[in-house]
Amino acid sequence: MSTPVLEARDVSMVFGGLKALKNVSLQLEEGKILGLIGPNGAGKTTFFNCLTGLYTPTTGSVLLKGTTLPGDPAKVTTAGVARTFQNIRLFPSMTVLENVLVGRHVRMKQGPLASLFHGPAYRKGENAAKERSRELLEFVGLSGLEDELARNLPYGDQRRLEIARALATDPAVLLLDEPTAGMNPQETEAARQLIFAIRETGVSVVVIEHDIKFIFGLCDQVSVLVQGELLVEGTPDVVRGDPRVVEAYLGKPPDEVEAEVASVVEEQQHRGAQEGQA
Amino acid sequence: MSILLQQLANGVVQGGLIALIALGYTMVYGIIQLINFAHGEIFMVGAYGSLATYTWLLPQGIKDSWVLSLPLMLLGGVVVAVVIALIMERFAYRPLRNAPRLAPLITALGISVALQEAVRTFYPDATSALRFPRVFAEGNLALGPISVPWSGVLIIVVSIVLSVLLQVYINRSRMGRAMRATAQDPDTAKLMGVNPDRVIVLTFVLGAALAGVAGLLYGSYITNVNIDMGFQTGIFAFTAAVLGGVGSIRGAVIGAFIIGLVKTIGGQYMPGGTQYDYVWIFVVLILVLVFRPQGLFGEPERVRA
Amino acid sequence: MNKVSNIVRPFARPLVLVGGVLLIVAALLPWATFVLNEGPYPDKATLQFFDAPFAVTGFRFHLLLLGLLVLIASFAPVPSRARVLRALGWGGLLVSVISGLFITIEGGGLGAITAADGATAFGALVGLVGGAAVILGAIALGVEPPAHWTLKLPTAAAYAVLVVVFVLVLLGVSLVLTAGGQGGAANPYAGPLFLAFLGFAAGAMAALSATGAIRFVSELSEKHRIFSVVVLLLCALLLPFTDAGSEYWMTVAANIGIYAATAIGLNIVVGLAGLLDLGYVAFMGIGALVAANFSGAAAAAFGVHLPFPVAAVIAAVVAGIFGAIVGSPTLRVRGDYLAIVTLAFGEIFTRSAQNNIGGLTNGANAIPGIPALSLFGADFNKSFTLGSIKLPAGVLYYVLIVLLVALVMTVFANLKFSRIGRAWIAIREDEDAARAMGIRTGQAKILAFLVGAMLAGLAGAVFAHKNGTVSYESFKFLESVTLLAAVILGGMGSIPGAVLGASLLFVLPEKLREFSEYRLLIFGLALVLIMRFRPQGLVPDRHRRAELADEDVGGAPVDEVHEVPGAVKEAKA
Repeated sequence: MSTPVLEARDVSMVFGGLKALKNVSLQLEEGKILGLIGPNGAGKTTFFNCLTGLYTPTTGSVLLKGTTLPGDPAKVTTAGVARTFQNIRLFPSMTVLENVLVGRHVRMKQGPLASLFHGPAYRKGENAAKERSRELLEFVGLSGLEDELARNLPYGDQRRLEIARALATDPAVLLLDEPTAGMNPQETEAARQLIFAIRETGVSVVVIEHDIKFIFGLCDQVSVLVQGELLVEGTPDVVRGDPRVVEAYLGKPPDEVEAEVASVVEEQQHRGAQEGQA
Repeated sequence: MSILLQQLANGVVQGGLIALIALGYTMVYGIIQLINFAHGEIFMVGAYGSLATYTWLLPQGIKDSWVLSLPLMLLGGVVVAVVIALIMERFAYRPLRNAPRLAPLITALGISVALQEAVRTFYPDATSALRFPRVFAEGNLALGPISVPWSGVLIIVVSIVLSVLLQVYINRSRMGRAMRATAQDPDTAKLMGVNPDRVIVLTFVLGAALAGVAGLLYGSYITNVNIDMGFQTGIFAFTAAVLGGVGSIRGAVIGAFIIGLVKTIGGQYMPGGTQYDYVWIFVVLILVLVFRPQGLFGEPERVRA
Repeated sequence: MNKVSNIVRPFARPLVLVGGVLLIVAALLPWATFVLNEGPYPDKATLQFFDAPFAVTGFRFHLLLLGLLVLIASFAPVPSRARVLRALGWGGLLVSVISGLFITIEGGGLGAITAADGATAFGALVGLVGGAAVILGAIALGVEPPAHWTLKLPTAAAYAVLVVVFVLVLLGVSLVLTAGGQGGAANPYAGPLFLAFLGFAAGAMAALSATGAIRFVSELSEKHRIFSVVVLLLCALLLPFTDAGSEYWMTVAANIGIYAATAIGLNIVVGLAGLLDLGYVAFMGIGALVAANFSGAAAAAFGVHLPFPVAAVIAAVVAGIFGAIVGSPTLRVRGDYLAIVTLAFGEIFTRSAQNNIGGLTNGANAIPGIPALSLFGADFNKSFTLGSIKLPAGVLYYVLIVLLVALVMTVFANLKFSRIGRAWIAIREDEDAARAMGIRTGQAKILAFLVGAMLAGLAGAVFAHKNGTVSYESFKFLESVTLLAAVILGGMGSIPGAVLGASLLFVLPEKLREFSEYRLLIFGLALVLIMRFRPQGLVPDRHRRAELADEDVGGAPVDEVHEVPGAVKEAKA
């Protein structure tokens, strides 16, 4: 097997006396979408923060293409891991284009002096960054809105802008923290298509989500985190069928869950049919 | 050696004074995360309130006996301080509760300047320092080589007693519990039926009352008051609150005594003498903020994400 | 408010018209029943006195103008009509209230503006009612957001518009400076006249802004940035040739310029990077002291007299180094605490300077006798002849300082619209998100402090030579607060804002000497009021303008109305 693009090795995180994560190991293969699910308080976001360098794991390490990532968000992003936030964190009084340009920051070279004098080389770099940013806006479906202030965008567009901003850092891995929270079904479906499109461009994706239907319909691989421990991992089918997941994560009698899972499958088939018609 | 002991004693007196003010900073910050810059001015206003009570309200007969005049002046000073603090909270801070954090801080600066100037402009002869009566037993308490004025002893006693009472109040009473709940998580506290406005008002009132007490004690100890006193002492008190860990009552008091000692000992033994005594306090402040921003007794701030 | 406007709604239009007419009537009525102590105040400003210097300061003329504009705006096709009318109404109200209050106080009671001794004077009251009627009517009409022009101009036309606008600005500045005279004994009414003028100007500007004209021009100038800077620079250099070209006003303008330059520097730290610096003026002090010590002044620590440009560069560099030192705690200290650290550094500077640390500051005695600058034998503080025109003393300093301001503006603007500037703004908006975008926030913040401090140091060097003496007294905490207030009043992150803020904070005391006792009191209260009612400042940055465009009729806080749903609820998650 080739080196995984992102790997967590025995990551543990302790806050005071609370063990938020216990020896979590994960591997993400290039060009795949990995789903991370688990009940509230299972440590999903803590794990994300460890992956992105916001927290330094108490023990264990995170590797990008075999190289250990530094414990600093800025350096992690520079290395090629970008993220979005659960509670959207755009730069609200910057324009849409500027938000994406901030994402380009790490891939631009202009230092303070160049920024001060605005020479020809500076302008070339600036124009290239703008061009790339506009491409990304078009990619996520926000072209034409570049001069709007981020705060004035509708909710779904803000999520998309956050994704464009993260993509602007040219990541190898994109981490999405509940990308569909608060979305209606149409928006959720659009988000799913967008994530597929991102995978097409060669970026590997990790998604945290509450919505298991969404995860099962999206991911190549699913990991279940319960009380800071990795309970199950595997393809959606494997995870779906695992009784431990049913019991620990869903906390419902198995037959009820099965019914829910069945409805998921049904819905997907139904949607597939609709797409076929379209 | 006796100089050192004497300076230690002076430091403790100063620390007591600073503690009374630091409590106001620490409580307000604990509840609404506001550095209430104007709190030092509340202390100043309190001192002028006591002085005004003495000058214009008390008849000569009462003035002659500190047993009578001290409580009345205290009442005057505390009432003035509390009223000003209430006005300030209601009209300046409350409307800004959801504003960006810079806004209330700048408002606090504005109030600070305005209060100083209001006293300078409207209090008779306040352009220069005013004499303050020593409304407590004259003379000194002599303990071997150390001698502390009785008014200084009063400061130490009052500050310790009041901080203990405050601590007990916050730990035991219903309102105290509401305060702690609001400090931890205002939204949840609200859901649990705590009225945040009432808690915040109470916090300002308690802080202002303590500052009013400090104003009187300061005047009586130093025997004069001036309009700059709030700014300087306020910064010392803020430093003490930060040193102790903002939000912690015990921390503020211990921090205050440390700051008092740094001031007197630094002024005595560090190069530059008393000319630079403040500088050492600021150096302590900067070092604490840089190396232990949560203070001695505070919890480290967790990164939000 | 809503209830009232519901009742008024059917009569909104007539109400506005009546208000407009009342403003005109007020302008023609007598205003005072008393002859005021220092002479017949209202007479001086009657309609007969339209000639200079009262042409622009005659408050009755302004009222007349406002009244006419109200009438015109109610009939002509004006964009955002209600908003324009409301602004005009406020202008009329302010002019009436200010003038009325002054006459009442000076005349010894309400009799002065009603009826006494057989004379009647209802001008102020009629004006007040008229203004209020216009405001009320306008609100009932329904105030909509300011218009936004999408008009695209060809470059040549854009240039022409910009030139015309900037020339008008120049004339306006000259007008404001000279309005009401120099104050002091020469004209006892200068203060109130000037205040009334400001009321008028504020109303007129707000009306203009409501039509979208100001936004249009500012977007135009942002688009043609270099052209605008050049034209603005030329206009500023022409100021000495206008009415304001006296030694007095050149000195005032030069002082404003120095503080404006410093305020723009502070604006980098506070406005762009969002770091509250409460000890900023110390960097200006450091720059001034360095320049003073290398100036060959008698009390200087070094016996060398370096040429000014060299000394200025050294001053900037030294101040910059201190800036980086003061900024370094930003690596670990956030938000409010950082403000306190900077305040502590500022106080350490003041204390050290007061005690003549290292023999560099000469303590309370200051460093006097710093030689004036000279260029090609022309002394900067002497008058100066250009061809056949004799320019007043201080003109050369004015020119130098205009160039300084232009330099600082360019630095600010170039940085703001660059990779570095975006990083600063991102940090201001959300530091964690900025870090997640790969921004080295620590480096960026120290850089902000460094650049800001260098600009302040440069301004300080000019300050030292212009004033001829440097004392720590000029660089105390209150100065830092004043500069901060200039930045905030003008609008954080905005260059015209910083200049306007500095101008107001340094022109107003000059104009309002009779209120000097209350200057700081008013200043403190003003800070509180600005934060409460207009936290975005007078000329908000483009990024922040949207918040103000959403201003709601009842004046409810903007954030409550326009939070993005969902984002609010999740903020605590």
